[in-house]
Amino acid sequence: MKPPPLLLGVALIFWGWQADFLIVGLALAAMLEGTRLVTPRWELSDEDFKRIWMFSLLAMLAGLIFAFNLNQGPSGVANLAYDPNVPEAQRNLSNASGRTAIAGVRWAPMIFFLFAAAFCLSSRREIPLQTLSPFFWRNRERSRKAGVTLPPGRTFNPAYLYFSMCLVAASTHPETSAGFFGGFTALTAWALWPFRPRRYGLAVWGLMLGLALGLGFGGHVGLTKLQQLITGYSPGWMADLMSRGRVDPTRNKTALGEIGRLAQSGQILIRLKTPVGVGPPTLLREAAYVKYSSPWWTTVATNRTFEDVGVEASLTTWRLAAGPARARDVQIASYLPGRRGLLPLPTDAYRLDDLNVDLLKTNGLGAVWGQGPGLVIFNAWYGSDQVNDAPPDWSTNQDLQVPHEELAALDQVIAELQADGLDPEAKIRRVEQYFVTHDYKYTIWQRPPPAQPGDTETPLARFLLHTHEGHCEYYATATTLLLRRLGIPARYAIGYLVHEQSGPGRYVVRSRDGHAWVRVWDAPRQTWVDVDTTPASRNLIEAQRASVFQFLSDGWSWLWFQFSKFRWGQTNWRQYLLWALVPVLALLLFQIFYRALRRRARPQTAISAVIFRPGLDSDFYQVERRLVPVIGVRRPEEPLALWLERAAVAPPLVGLQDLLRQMLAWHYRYRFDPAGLEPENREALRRAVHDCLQRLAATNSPNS
Amino acid sequence: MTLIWRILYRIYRMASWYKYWEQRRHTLAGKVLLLGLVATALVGADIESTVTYQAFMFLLAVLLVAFAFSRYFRGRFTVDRALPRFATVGQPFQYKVCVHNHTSHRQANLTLLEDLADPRPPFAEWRAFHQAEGRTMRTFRVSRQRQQHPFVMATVPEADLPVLPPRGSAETTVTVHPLRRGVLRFTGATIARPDPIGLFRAFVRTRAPQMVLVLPRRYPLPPLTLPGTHEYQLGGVALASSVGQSDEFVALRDYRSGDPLRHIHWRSWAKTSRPIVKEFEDEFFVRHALVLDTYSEVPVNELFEAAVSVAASFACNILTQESLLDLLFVGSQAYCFTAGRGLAGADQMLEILASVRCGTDQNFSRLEQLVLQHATLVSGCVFVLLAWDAPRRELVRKLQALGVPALVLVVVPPGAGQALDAGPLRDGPARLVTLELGRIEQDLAKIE
Repeated sequence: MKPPPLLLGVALIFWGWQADFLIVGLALAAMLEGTRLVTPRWELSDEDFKRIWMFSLLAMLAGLIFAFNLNQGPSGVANLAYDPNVPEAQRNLSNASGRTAIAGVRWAPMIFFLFAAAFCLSSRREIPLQTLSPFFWRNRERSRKAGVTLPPGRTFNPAYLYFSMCLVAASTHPETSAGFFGGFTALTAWALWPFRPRRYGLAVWGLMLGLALGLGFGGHVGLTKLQQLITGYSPGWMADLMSRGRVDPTRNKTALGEIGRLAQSGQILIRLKTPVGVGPPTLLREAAYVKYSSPWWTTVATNRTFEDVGVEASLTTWRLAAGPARARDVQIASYLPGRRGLLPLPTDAYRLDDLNVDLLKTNGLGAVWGQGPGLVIFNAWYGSDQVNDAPPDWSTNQDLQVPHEELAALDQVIAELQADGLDPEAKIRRVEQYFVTHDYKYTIWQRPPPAQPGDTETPLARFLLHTHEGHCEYYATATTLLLRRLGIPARYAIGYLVHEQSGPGRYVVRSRDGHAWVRVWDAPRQTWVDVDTTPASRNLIEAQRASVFQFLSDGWSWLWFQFSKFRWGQTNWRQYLLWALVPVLALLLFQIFYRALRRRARPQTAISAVIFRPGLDSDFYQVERRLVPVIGVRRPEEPLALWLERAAVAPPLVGLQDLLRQMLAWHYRYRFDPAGLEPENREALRRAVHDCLQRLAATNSPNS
Repeated sequence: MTLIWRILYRIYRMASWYKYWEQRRHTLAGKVLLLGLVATALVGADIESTVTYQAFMFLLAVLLVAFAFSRYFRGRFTVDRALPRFATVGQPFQYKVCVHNHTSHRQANLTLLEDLADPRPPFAEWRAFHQAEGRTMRTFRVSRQRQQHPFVMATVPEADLPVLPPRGSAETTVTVHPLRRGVLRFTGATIARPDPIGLFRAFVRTRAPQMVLVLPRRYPLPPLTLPGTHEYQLGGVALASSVGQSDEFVALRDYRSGDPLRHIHWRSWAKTSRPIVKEFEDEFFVRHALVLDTYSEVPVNELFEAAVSVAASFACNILTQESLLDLLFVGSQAYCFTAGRGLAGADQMLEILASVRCGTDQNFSRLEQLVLQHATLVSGCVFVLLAWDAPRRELVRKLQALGVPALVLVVVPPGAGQALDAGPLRDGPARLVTLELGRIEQDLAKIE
């Protein structure tokens, strides 16, 4: 079906307007629509259209190469080849490729104009679909030449293809204006007009398109909003959404006061590798918080700002703090769900090596946030006094603040501690001892409190004064607030406890190893140190929660880890990819040479074929030849059997009549039977002929 | 390995189902819009760089609206086809279809889509085909193409229906392009109605099972002088136009045990007092065997189809009133069909050839056995072979040893016609004819 008049011209003008090629668009539109004013038409064959299409494709290829050069693509490739681990080079190359593709689409109406003009000036109404693909064309031609019955080829009107090209090319600009959407919908409706079914009224057709227009407009506006929401998210609820349950660096809801069992799985989240003989860091921190308001631990406004971490020249080494000359390192492999999130690090980490992320930020509370691949494997150097945490803010005393509602219970405990007059170190030891001497127990099960009307006791107070049972969040919160009440700056830290060894120098951290502890300000050393008052029975109790089928999930987790390593470029496989091509190329070369050799060998086989006539090699012919001088030539009318009867009475062959008959029977079968002669009979014929010939030879010898 | 093949087979079935569904459900405009949707999805993935996503959303909305309003087509129709009994591969044929509208509404803009039986083969056949094809394909070769539409029997383009009046009927013409020989089964017909925008179709299906036998393609043959002479046919030909010996009276002789009673000459018996019978002239006539080679590693292949076509061409040309033709081939068992002299005609022979399948797991010795059993009866043999290897050469050699002349036609792939060695036919190389795919008609014209 032909497109409506002027549709192509208007589409070209629309493309020129949107793609900043207005003059070109007007000129092309005038030329294309001007073909209607010309009456003569060219008789272009399918082959002609195929050549014009191929020319257009080559022009498109040249255009893409030009655009790639224009966008610094070759230098991006060179950078990538120089160091494939540089994310910057990967990003640049990716951007260059994207811009090249967009440029190709944008220029398509110009590049394929010749094809469209040729069609408009030809007498053809449609052309075969395989014109667009040299492979399809060649396959069809081969099939036709081979006599294969083919279905009739499909044809199409290239004007609609060119129209679609113009519309898509018009959309390759980032400016959102009503002009594009309005123009696109109007032109699409115009193009659909000839295809409308006549069984429906014009109103129904218009209503349907209007409905689609509304849905499309709502859809693209909604998509824009969603994109804005995702890109401009604040690290609040969106962080929860994107990180699939990972930690929010700004706040953390504890399970204080919740009834029932803590739900934590045995899923492996982090894998560590240490040098043999060196233990791992006990704690891996993800975040620390300052302000407690039951059940939330949060940062305060000044600590919420994340700042970029300095990267060294290699672009994969990130320095968090000044480090000592001698320190320890650990290799950490951690997932970054949504390709962004907090990194689990030793609390005194100061340098990160081989960390292939695009962006790394840290806040003043030691949380390190990265954006990069979905799996990062890096070396963390730790053991420094110069930690990543900012010192206490003495102006606001935020690290000494205690919620008002917890004061009563805390003071009651402090009275029991009798820590007045002690130095900070002794106070810390006294608090640690308090949980041991008062028989505090670790439990993941929280019983409901006895129902008492008017009871306003907080969960923390109930833990400290009555139940003496709780999980790590109770201990960490209680210790933080007790130390603050004793005048020691303290912060609440969360992360993971490393205790499960999976092999020599290898450790795994599971979801249930999630832990909370306290960061305490060590004034003499001017640094923060870890204090963990959770009872040691924690690890035993948590281990009892392991499923008997944990080995299955661990196996799956390992497979997934290996796949993720490959997927996120954390292996050296890419370096070996080029080498992997070597056997493939070798196989290809072998096939090419093997085929060439076979082709040469084939005629030789044909020439050396043996001419085969059945039975001509029968041994009996030797006897026949030897008998001729004895009994004379066989007469033409004389059958071989009668001739042999004559021979049997000749002196040398007397007594061999039966043997001669048998020999003749075997010879006939060998010579004329389509089934041939059995091997044993063939051998018997040979022996008989041999005997016969010996008898004849003995008769003719001079001694006889 | 079987599991992988089964998964691939599932993928093949799903992909072919989607292709079938997509081709029938979308109108031409719908297909163009769907391609536009894919193109805009590819270009507009990054919504910060381009506004292509706006085009994508609009096209998606148009397609969704069209799809939603293409549901619920309540109509009742029946169809009557005026199908021919036979068709020929590669020869399009047309037939009339009368569509009856049983609703009280006028129906316009309808399309008729014929429903053919599902051509997809069962798993075993599909796997055998692809394994055999894989053996002939070379790694990293793009020049050797795979077979296109290997299982499709025929293509039937959709036909636009004229306006159907309430409780009335209308007629349209449908063109069928048969691609393969065999039984072309029509299971029913689908009446399609477009949505208001004209992108999707709603269907009403009606059952109308019918069939057409698609015969193999035939090639014109030059005037042939096939090898062989008249041969004595012991006892004549059963079920021929005349039973037993010919009607030509030769003499009277004494009765021998086994002589038919109707040959007793009663008057001579009365005169001589011993039974005398009439003796007629023995039957001598030309009888040829047409041997079709059905042994191929590839279950569906063009070589075999060409061989069947060549056999069909000979079956149509050799058959006359004065000669017999035995068609010999091996399928699930050994077959021998005799035609000529009033037994069966060319049409029956073509019907048989339309249904011949090639065997991948058979032993060539069965065909050899069958041919040698018939060798004493026939004046000459015409072989249509798929290869010229040692077992086939041996068969021809044995026939020559029995004194049965043979004309051997070997169908070979394109470009493989020059390298054949005459073997047992070295004395008469003209009796070995190579038929190259794509040039079969020209090669057949060279037969002397």
